[in-house]
Amino acid sequence: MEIIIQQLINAVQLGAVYALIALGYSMVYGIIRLINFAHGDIFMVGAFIGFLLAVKFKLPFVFILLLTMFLTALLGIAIERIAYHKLRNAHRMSLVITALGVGTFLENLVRLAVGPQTRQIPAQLSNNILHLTNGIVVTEDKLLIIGISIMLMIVLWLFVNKTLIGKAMRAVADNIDVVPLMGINVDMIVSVTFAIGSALAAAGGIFFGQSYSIEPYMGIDLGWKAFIAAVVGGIGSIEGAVVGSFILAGIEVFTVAYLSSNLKNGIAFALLIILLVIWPYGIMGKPSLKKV
Amino acid sequence: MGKIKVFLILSLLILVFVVGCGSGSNNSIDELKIGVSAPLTGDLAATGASTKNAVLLAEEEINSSGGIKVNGKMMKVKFIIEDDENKPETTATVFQKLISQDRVLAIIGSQASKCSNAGAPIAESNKIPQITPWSTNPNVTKDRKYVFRACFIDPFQGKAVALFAYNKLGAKKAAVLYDIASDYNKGIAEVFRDEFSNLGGQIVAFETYNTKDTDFSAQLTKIKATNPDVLFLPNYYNEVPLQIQQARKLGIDAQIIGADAWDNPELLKLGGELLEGTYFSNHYAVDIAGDKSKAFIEKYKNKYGEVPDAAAALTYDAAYILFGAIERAQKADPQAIRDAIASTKDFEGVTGTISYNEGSGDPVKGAVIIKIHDGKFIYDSSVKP
Amino acid sequence: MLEKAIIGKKSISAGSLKWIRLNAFFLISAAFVQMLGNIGFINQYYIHILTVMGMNIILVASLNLLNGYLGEFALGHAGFMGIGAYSGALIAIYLGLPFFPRLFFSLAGAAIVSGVVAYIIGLITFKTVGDYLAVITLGFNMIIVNIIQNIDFVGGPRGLVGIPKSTNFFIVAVCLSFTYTVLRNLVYSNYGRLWISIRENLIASELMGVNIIRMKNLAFTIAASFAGLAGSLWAQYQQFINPKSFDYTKTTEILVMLYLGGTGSLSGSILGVVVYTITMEILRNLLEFNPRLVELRMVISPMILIVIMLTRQFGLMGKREWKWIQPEKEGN
Repeated sequence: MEIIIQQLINAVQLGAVYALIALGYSMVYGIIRLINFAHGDIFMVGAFIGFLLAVKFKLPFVFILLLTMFLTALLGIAIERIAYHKLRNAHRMSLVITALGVGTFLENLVRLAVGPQTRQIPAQLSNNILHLTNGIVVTEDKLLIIGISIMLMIVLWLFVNKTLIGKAMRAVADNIDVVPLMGINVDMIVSVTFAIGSALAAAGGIFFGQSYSIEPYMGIDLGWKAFIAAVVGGIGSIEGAVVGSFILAGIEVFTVAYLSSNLKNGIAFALLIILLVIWPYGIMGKPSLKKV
Repeated sequence: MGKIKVFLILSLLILVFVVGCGSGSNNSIDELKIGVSAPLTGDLAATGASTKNAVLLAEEEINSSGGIKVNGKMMKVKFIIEDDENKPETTATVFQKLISQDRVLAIIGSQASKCSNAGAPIAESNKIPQITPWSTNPNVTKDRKYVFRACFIDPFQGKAVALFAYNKLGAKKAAVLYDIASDYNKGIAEVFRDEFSNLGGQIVAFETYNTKDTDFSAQLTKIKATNPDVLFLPNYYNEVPLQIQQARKLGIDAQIIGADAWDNPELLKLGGELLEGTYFSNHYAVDIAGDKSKAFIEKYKNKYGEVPDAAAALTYDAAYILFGAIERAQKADPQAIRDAIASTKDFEGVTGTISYNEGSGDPVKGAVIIKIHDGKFIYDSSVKP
Repeated sequence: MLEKAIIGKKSISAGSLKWIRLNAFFLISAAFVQMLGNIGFINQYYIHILTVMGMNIILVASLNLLNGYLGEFALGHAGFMGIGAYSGALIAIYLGLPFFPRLFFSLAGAAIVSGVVAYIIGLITFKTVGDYLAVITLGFNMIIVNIIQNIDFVGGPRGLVGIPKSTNFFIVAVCLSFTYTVLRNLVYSNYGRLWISIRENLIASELMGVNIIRMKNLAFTIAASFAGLAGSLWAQYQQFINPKSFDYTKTTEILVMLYLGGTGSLSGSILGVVVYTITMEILRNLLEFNPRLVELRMVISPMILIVIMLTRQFGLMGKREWKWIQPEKEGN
């Protein structure tokens, strides 16, 4: 029993990490239907900016967090303007390939700039171990990651559903061709989306870099996992991204715990495929309109 | 119209390619060209950086002492370093290029066993000697005449660690957590499992994860439930600190042991105090090192500002095994160099004394067990081959 | 009416005669190049690049069937390549056949095994579309790699060594010519038109009575068979395979070459592979003079990719086709 609860806590921790990245994926997808394969790498860049600010400039934590989010948001906007903007009306897949190119570029640029070594952001927050009962433990930084992802999700949900810009974003998501006629500046909305998505990824990167470790190529695998989580949840849906992340993490952890760690990927993906066959549009997703 | 444009672009590309390649292939006779295939980008980029640093240091040293005497004439050494991206396909291309276009005398590399395995058939069929510094998988050199390595092989090391855990640490129950997607980790883990059981110990958990996983809580929770005496982590230095952190946080207090992939200064930076009192097997120990090792470590530190890791030390040894062989062969001929490498006896390297037995590319070489104490690697004991 | 049918038939046969002549020319030059390579007149490095390009073209063109003509977004091509590589290698190692039968059976066997696996997977996969399909195919890719890692008989993560070398540039050229003949005839047949109709308008084709799932699965199976063929060629060229070579890194590489060349164009697949491979090798040769610059290669190459995609939004070829690939039109 204790072990099941401990494994459940493990799953929630892992799910929170996936959710931090999956949220950005899903948001960008919702607005311009782009699978932004560079998103995992933006997460990585955010983590490294946080690392440099913490190690080189030794700023207080709040400044590190805000400054990193701000700088990474600028990076997100720049990437969109330079690499994606011109392709908005092109074939969807051209954008995907460009995104792959941006991702590879960021990975190798960071490797050149800071070296290929694995690092850890010095802990800015306490990481004491809490013993809930005998045998069940949780560390404070993990609790914090869980808390932060839930908080970010709520903030994001409120932003998208309750503010005027959020309304405009939903309108763009709904029909990008008609919205300009309503006097909404689509370019601005897309930029805002990228800024928010990248800032979220940066926040995720900082928390991730304290509990785990960071290296220039870490965004690839996490990015794929988050992409899968976002799709399973129903891509384009904020709630779906979170649900998908926890499902993916739950499946992974319990496969290791009760089936076999050797076949973790195999079994986990077989279960995900079954989920997708039952819900062909993801758990929270809606079928896209079929046009005749 | 479109066709002509495409044709023009294509022929331009091919022209640039041929010209670009041609410029590299002017065969100057006063240089000894040696190819290096290193994972400068990709998963193992840190190892790639060490490889590059080590060969550049060796090149600088040998050339500042005038070079190597070949055919009665001093010749400078020139390393041609290529990026194999830690991918077997790219390694094959790199080997083919180094051999056919640059006409190198020998190749040092690659580091990961999977890449060395992809390059080896090409070196073998072109009769170019290859020394891999760091590929510990036994099948890299198996049945091959031209492929050598500077390190010991997985089975030897797995056995050494099992003996150490059972006899010295007195462990009866052992748990293993390793990366199933990587041949190095799996190789050692399996040998350890078999040897430890043969000695009379019990393997209570044999858990795996996938390269680049960062959360091991699920596996460690399972391991904790089996309450082992030792936890064996035959994984790379960049993953081990994370695994130890998570193990300790979950309340696992077993003795933790590891293998040579731990040997990297980054390990201490990442792991800090949590590493205190852990043991791992290695190729050499810095603190009991001979003069040659000390000199190497000193020079490396001065030049690059960091302590060399095992990959750097082994690459440096591979370079000097090669220099020695060229000197003894006295000619710039791959076949003669190959024979000279095979007859290497009692080569005093940074990582220990290396000899080859004819017919095998694996060196006869011992291992040491290192203890981490006060944030330093301290020599604990030796294991003879 | 009758006359027209006969004329049509005539011109098709004239077209195929032209195709046969083209292929014969290609194969003779390939044999010539191979010979010059063997006697050392052409640098083996160039032959190696040509061979790798040939194998990649088979991979890219077969994925083109799925992602280009059918308009789906499949992310699991490297998995089928892996199945082909392993089954081909096992046939080559364990059946103990002499050279030609061994080559034939390992190639054909690999294609069949990959095709059968793909057919079964396809029955599940095509219940979804779009990005959901992408994730399912990606999932199968990961499952395939994970299963191979757990089979100790084929070496697990250590990989399979000791595969006899049967593939050379000429063999690849023969397979390439076979692949293009099949793909071209498929694409310009009724099947091809049905696939394009599904891509252009799914509902309308469904209303016309096209069995969508069957047609999609057919394309999927054929694409996977050719991926298996390429995998088997690869295994017998490199003489060593390991499961990691067939994970999503390889899939993305195939995707990049495909979209770089342009989807829905068989010429694009050739051009994409050639431009990608040669660019990477040019960068390697240009940067090697200084060890400090070698690492720049992976920074420059994605920049080139982005610039190409920005200037040629539909890939280098778009949907256009070189004239010599198209069959001649009826009555021309």
